[in-house]
Amino acid sequence: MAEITRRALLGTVGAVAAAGVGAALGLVRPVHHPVPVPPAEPPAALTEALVRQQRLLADYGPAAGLTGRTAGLRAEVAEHGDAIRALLELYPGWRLHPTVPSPVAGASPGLAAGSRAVADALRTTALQWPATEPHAVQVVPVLASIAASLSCHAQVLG
Amino acid sequence: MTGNPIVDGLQQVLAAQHLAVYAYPVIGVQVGGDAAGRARTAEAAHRLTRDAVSDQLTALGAVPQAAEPEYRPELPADSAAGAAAWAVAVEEQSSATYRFLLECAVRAGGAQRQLRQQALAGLTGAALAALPWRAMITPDRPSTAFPGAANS
Repeated sequence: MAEITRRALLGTVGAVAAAGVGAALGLVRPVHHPVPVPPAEPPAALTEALVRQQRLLADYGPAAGLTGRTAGLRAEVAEHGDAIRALLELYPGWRLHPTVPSPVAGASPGLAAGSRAVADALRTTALQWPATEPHAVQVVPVLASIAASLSCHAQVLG
Repeated sequence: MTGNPIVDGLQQVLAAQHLAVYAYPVIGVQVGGDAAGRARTAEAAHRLTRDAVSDQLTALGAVPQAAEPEYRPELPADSAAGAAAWAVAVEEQSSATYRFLLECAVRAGGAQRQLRQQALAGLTGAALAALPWRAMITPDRPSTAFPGAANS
């Protein structure tokens, strides 16, 4: 019969106690499993801003056929589209549907009136955008700048 | 900075108005003709805005900042083209401060509808005011894509 020494007994008791403490900690410690959440979708007003910009750009026609002031204005409208897309990228849900509905077919109001209408719509969006919206500080000034630019376009074209 | 974003935004707008009130008489002398009349009109408009913003700041309990003793253009304004370039710079500065005011209005929280309207109108007004001056320098590119933004 094996002799139980005091050292072996203490060692066994110590090991059992340590395992018990470890198991208890494992039971009470909160376990964080990553919970997938749907990515934030961009506000409809921002998607609509891109639709309006695309419609206006389409009204200019291809860049190749333009010269002088009109070519410059068209280039700026294209830059507006890039800026709105950059804002849309702030909302990860945008990457799921990065395209916007095609511009509605119909009679174009003309470049001057079209520019003025888009400018007015963007100003309204900038005015009404909720301050509590997470990206308001980035979105509102950009929309306001584009609106100011398009008001200038309307003046030049008018 | 005061810690009150609305006061900070309005002080910036006021500073740009001080600059414009100083610059336009100098610009008007150099450009002459119809453009001189435009400079006089612009000076009067900026003077009115300056006084209104100053009153606004006082109503908020802030001390409106004073004008600098003098302002120097980045490039010499001793020709019509140089003066027109200064007018563009003045209006760009004004646009930038209104854009900043808009940011401040958003940061302040709440609707701040009146302040946002003021900033939007000011930004558009300054962009439109820059048009004829920029057309004197770059006739084919009188506008910019992002008035008030850095490097617009």
